[in-house]
Amino acid sequence: MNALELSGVTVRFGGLVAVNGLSFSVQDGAIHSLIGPNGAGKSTVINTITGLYAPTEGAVRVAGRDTARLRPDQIACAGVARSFQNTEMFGEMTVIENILIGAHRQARHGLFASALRLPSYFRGEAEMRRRADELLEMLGLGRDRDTLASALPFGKQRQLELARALASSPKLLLLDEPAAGLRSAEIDHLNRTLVRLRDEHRLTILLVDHVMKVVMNISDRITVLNFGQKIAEGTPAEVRADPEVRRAYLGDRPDRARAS
Amino acid sequence: MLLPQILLSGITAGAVYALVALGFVLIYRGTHVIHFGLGEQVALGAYLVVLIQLYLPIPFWPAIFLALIAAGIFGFIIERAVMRPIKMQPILVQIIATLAVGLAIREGLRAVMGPQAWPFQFLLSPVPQSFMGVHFAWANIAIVIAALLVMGALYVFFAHMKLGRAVLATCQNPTGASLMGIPVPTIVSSIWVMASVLAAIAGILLAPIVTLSPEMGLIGIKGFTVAVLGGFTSLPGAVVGGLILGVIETAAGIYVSTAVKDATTYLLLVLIIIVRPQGLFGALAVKKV
Amino acid sequence: MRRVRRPFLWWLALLAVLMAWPLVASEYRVFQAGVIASTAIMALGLVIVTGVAGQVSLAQAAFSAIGAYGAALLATKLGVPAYFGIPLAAALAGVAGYGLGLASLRLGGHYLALVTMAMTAIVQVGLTHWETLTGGALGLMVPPLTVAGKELTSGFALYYVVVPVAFALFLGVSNLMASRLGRVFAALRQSEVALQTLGINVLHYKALAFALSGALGAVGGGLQGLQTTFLDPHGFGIIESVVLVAVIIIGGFRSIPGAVLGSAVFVLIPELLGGFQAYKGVVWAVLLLLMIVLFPGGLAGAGAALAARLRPNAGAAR
Repeated sequence: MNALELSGVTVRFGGLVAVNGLSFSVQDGAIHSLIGPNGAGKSTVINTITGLYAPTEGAVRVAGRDTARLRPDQIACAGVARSFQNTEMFGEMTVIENILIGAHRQARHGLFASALRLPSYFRGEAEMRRRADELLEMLGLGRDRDTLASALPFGKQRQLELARALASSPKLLLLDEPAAGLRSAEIDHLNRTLVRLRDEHRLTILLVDHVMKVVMNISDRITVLNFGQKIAEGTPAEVRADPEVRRAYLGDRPDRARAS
Repeated sequence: MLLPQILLSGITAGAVYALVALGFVLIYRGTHVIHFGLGEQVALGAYLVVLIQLYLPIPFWPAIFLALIAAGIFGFIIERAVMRPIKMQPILVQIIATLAVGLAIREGLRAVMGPQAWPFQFLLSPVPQSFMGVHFAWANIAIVIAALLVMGALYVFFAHMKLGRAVLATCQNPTGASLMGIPVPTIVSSIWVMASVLAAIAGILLAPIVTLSPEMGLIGIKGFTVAVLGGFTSLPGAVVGGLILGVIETAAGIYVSTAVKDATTYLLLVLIIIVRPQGLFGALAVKKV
Repeated sequence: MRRVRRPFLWWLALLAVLMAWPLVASEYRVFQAGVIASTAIMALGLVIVTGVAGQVSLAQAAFSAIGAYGAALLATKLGVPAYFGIPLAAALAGVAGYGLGLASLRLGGHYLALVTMAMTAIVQVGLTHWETLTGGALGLMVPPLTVAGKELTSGFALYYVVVPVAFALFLGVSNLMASRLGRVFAALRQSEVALQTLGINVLHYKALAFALSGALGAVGGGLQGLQTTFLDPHGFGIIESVVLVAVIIIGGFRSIPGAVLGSAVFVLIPELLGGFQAYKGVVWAVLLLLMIVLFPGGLAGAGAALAARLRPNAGAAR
């Protein structure tokens, strides 16, 4: 089954068409990339999948389920987590607290257990913290555990956002430019993490990015957008060879395309 | 009671509400803050006239003039001393600051002038007249005319004067305005001064027909309701909203009960915010986005 | 487990001091302390909804009216004693708060302030005009709290009712704010979008914050009614809501102890002014403005900053 399916999705803001009749599907357990020049509508696609925007036409299906009538939090509960292009931290909270928010839904202890500090509260909090610590280690944030999120350098904020998304135990992960602003070593680390998430944790990943070093190296499949429309789709090799893609996107940056 | 009678009373109140609402709309458009203390500035305007006449041996009209100047200076001080330093704080803090300004004015008036009501002079004779079966007083007509004059002056100011257009440009797009060489901080100050003077005018018009006491500041809620009715960003919307509220309120007081009259404003406010937060005429504003 | 036990001992020590103090204090001070405690409960509700969750609420006076009038009317009309009446009224206020929170859907800061303000005004109009039930503008006598046939009316006796209740509520809310629920409230203030995409129903939690603040407002109002013995619609208006917001700003906005500090300042200001009682409102308002502009952290924040300065190594040691 497909983890994600868009069919004929159009998103209009007033007179502006941000996404135009877009259809593609993301296979279960794949890393699928969505690329395109600036303003091609990539972030709009992510915002539409997560329910922050409503499609003007067309349908989005997550694991076969139509999300049209769902609120953003219900879509997230269906197993979709995401990161943001400009990061949306809880800046006044520490790194671990950010992750604990991500894990909120996994815990079961309630209002009364928390207010009265019943045993279930201690068990629940301990379990949440244990899982959060695991995620911190996995993403290399172990030493920043008690740092304020807003005090982290940008690259680590991206890692934190990823950790927080993972804490919500998603099946489908949407990453909006996770590599933007990262240094080369950090990008390698990101690549390894994403591949590991796919292979070991059976996660499906939809990746939006400019950085070819990520997209071309780890994607199973790539969809290319231009002016809100799909202009190509295929494996990295196929996309790279596509003349229209070269013209619209890769063509004006041959250095990047070769570098990968 | 006769429909024309309701309309006349409603329009009298509505014209004043519209003036208060115009102040809200101006400040909101210029600074994206709703000034929750503007109602208290309405009361302050009327009190200033009383105060000036208590301490200076001058007649009513010059006292009004001085009061308006004082009200403007007060608005300037609020902007510089309170609102500007916290400009970068979360909106929550700014809202609370405007509430605090209102509380300070109200408590200041109560401390200096006492909790009791003060008599306030009518602009014209309050003696009831009758024309074709409709009762009216020249005092009420004066209120409507004064409010209309102020609105007319505002229209001319915004449509035809350089400063007025600079204010509108700043409201629309502060960054763009400052790139065009408009001194945005000065404009923001003048927005506060204008709104404060408008509030004072409303207070002076209203004081004779309601009771001049520290409680008069609660008129602010009527101003909010009117501004919300009009969509909170539209100046003409505020005027129409004022008239609508004035008429509805009068009708509710006559046909149902005074309790309902009191509650009308609040219920209307909640209803509009929940059902139609963009206001009655908000659709036009939304299209621009 | 050691991390858990130590604060618990502090709470226990605090309770011991609170219970012993009236034995050595004057009757008037004890009465004042009781009033501070009931005010602090109302303020605690605001700390949750406005301070932590970041939702402006001018409805707190309305909630305290529900508590005060609700408990008094249950006692007068139906003979329900206050120790059942106040929790019942609090439950009602909680439901009302949840509803108000749901109505806040789509509403940003300003509109929320307006809606909560309107709610307070509507409740006040109701109290004033529904004379057959509430006594209207003439007011309503609060029947005394009767326990085991004894009427508790002295400040001393009521202290031992109000303060333990306040203590328990503060302890419970502290625990709650340190738990996953408190974290979500705090996150609400920082990024609703991020919360939604983590699968958290923002509206439900906003409503829950309002429900908690409503219930606490009602408990505070109900207890204060027992202390003042008389209710008047004038005491439950928009201004009173603003004053409660001022209490938490002066105390420290997001700080739970700040609710007590702010309430103490509020109750004690009249004393500091001596012969200038008329100015207490102005002093209060100016204090509020000064806090907002100069010390956004309030008294609790200023205290913490001072403590940090006195122990310059404390930060480095961590």
